[in-house]
Amino acid sequence: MIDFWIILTASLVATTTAILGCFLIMRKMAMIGDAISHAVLPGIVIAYYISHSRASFPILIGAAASGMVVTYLIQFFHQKVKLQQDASIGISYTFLFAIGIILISLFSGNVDLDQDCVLYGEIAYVPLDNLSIGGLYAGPRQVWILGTTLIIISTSVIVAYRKLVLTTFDPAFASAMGISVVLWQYYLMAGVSLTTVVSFESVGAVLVIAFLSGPAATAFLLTKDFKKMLYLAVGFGISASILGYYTAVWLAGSIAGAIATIIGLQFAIAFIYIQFLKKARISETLENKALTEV
Amino acid sequence: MEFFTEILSFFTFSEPNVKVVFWGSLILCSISGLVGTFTLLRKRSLIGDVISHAVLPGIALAFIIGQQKNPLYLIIGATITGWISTYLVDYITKHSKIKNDTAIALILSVFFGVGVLLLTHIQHSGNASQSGLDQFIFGRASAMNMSDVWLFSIVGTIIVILIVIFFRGLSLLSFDENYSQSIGFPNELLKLVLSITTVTTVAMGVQAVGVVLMSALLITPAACAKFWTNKIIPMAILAVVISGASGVLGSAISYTYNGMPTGPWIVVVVSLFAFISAFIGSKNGLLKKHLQRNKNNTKILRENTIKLFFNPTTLGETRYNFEDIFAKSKMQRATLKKGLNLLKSDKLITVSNDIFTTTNLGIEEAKTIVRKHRLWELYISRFMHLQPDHVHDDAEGIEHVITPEIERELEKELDFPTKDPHDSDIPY
Amino acid sequence: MKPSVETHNLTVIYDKKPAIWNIDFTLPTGKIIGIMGPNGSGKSTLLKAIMGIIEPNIGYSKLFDQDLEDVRNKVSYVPQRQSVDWDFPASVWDVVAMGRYATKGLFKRLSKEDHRMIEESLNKVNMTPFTNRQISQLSGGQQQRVFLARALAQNADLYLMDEPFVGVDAATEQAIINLLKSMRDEGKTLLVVHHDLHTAQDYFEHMVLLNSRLVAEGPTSEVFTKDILTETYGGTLTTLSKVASVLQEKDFPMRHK
Ligand SMILES: Nc1ncnc2c1ncn2[C@@H]1O[C@H](COP(=O)(O)OP(=O)(O)OP(=O)(O)O)[C@@H](O)[C@H]1O
Ligand SMILES: [Mg+2]
Repeated sequence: MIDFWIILTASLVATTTAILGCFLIMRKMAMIGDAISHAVLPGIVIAYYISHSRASFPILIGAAASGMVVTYLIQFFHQKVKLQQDASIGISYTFLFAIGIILISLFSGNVDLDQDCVLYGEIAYVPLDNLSIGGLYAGPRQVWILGTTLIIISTSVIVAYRKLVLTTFDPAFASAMGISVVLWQYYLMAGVSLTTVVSFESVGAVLVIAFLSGPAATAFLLTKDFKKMLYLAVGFGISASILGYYTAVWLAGSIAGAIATIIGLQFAIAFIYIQFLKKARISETLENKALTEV
Repeated sequence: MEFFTEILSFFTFSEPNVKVVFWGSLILCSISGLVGTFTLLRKRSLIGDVISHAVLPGIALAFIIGQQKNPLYLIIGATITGWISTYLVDYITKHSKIKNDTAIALILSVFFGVGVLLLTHIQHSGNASQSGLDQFIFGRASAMNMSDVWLFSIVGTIIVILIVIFFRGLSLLSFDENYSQSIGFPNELLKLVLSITTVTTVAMGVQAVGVVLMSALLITPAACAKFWTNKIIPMAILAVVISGASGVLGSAISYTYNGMPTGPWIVVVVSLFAFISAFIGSKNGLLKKHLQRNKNNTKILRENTIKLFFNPTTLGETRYNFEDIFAKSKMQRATLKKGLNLLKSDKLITVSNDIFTTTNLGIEEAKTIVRKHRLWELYISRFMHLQPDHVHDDAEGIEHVITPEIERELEKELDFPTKDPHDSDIPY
Repeated sequence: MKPSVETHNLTVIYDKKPAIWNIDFTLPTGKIIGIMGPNGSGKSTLLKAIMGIIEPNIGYSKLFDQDLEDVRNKVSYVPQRQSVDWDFPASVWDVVAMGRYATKGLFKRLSKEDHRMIEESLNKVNMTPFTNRQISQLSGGQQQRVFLARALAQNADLYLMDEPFVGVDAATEQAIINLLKSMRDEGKTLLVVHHDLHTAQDYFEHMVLLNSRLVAEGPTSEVFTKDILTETYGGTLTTLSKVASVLQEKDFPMRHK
């Protein structure tokens, strides 16, 4: 049963992040996931500290607050004082993340968080924190939270599908049609922030980036239809969760780390397959050419 | 209070280990400031992020192979995986439709994931001396010993020598890669030098700062320096100083708390330097911009006020009382008073019995500003093909921007005109 | 007849420096109008400012005597081909269908009528055989035709096209210009950014010559003269660029209260 809950948790995270990841990588915004996932830390720690619990609501507020701070900082550096974009992002999120780690150390007696789990989560403990409804066992709390998030994200994406695709593919055309590019950008960012925050406990700040970028990138290599890319990414995410779990059990290592490793392998295989196809196609055309020339 | 005595005890080297921490963080951070200058200028800051995360599996592997914490093994292992990661990012971007940012995010997180998997594997398999490995994630300068510091000094010296030898090429590569290529600099070699030094720097630096925050040490000091200078040598020197200072201060602070990782403190200190530089820096700094704006606004107010005294018929002296001039102006009372005070202190007008009278200087100033206004109107109506009723607003803004030099050019280009587009005289 | 496009002191400032400055013109309806000027002269910027893709810093524009918001579905914009990532996983049909999204809102499925218009648009640009082709597998000229088909599917009255002839072979260029002419004959207005001085006279009845300022605007016969072309392409005005650099250096406001 524990296996089941852990795999389910990982699959829920993987599904939500895969969907958002497809949009992120097509918008060339994969690193924004990196910035957000690190930058929300101080807010989360303070929320833990104040509320003395892992209740989700205060954490969401705390994370949203630090998310706003990092957005502001990036803008400050990039627009107000004209620092280049990559450096602005780099300075801002490392600063906030450092503050977060310091806070964890300072509050170490009072906050039930440790430094390492911040980075790669503690999905193995998910089945220990259960929810009961009316005295009945209702499964791990995280599963409920992540399930709800998945429903929120997938409905939001379905509802806004056309606008999200249009503003991703051709923002200038979208904006000429009167669709606000900035609005849908924020819509997507809100989804990414929500997802990184709720996935925090299970996969942590760094590995959530693997979940966001990896399955989407592998799917992107293999298909030329955006809808198929979404389904494929979800498929890769879930299969990586299952394989990753058993790899972790086998090696007695971190589950999230193992899933990220599998995500990397999936990408590597797809990448090599594509290179192979390309070579085959080139030699085929060369052969054809040779034949016609003869 | 206790905090300060602790800090003081750090800087007096009262404990033998403090010396190690001091020199260790000073060397590591200074070198990353130097190398970071080039990464920043090449707009490859995020590559630093990839490398720093990607050294983790190298460290873990070195540990598995060496069975203990041998700093040389660790640096070699870290350098290898760090270098592979940058190579992969470039390879993926070049050979597939995957974009650079996706490749960065993917490689960074997957390498880190592999590292975490290996590290946790080592820990769970109960290896006795594994306890030192945690320090690589957030850095623990206090875990360094004297032989580490020697190693850092040697490797660091090699890095500095390499950079000094190739300095000219590296600078040109960072500012303008294509130009460097076109004049026959060996770009590929230079890039290799840069990537080797960067990767090695990161591989060492993670011992003090940790893999997660190491990229800050490449980005932030150089960014600080950029707020003060555009020249590469002063920039590199400043970055080294800021970085070294942050390293020492950060480890001093973390030293006073038991069990506190070093990395976050170093990063917080260096970020504070960045904020300070962003505020008071001489290049793009907020304060400077603010002062410049104030200066502009004063100039605009001064010129708009003296313009009110322009006498279109005689081009000579004018006298107004406050209410008259207020009625002519479109300003707030307080603004106008401020403007009049400016004129008074510049001796453009005199005041007696509430009557403002232009001095000779004031008459000239008023004429000048009206002349600039009308010249500009004429200029844009001729060269921008604007209707006469569309030129006024633009001239209201630009009249303050026209320097005496530009004014002379306008006169010449318009052949010393006498009438503006509204057929008013241009006063000389 | 109402003017198709009217701009008033339209000014766009990037990083404190004006990219287009005080553009002031009124264009006729039912004509093919060329916008010409050297690289970086602000042609794309002008189109974007008219379409509200970038907010002008100063000035405004009107389309058919109305605000943009009121006539949006009568106007179609064709971006520069290089402005999108053609690796995006979509088919030719998917891209052309985007032209029908504007009237469809969030959920409404595309109707039979929509499908008919999409097919017709593809047909008009001779892309019917490529309907299901992935856009990453198109040549430059085919990509350009996909963009045109998307614009046709919008069925607008005014088309703003950013360099529709770039990377297109002579035959395709001829086909496109014939298409534009037949659209003009249906009473549509076409505003086309173009680079080739040799063909300009044949293609356009009316012209806007731009070099970050408006150099000339009028019927081709009047403005396509040697003097005006020299003024347009003969480098920027030194005084103007000096003023622009003082604006940028000293961070002066162009308008102030
Ligand atoms: N987003 C931007 N930020 C800053 N400057 C910009 C931006 N877009 C354009 N510019 C600058 O504004 C000027 C006008 O650019 P624009 O793209 O409108 O020119 P163009 O006439 O379309 O050129 P081309 O013929 O090359 O397409 C150029 O100097 C360009 O460098
Ligand atoms: Mg253009």
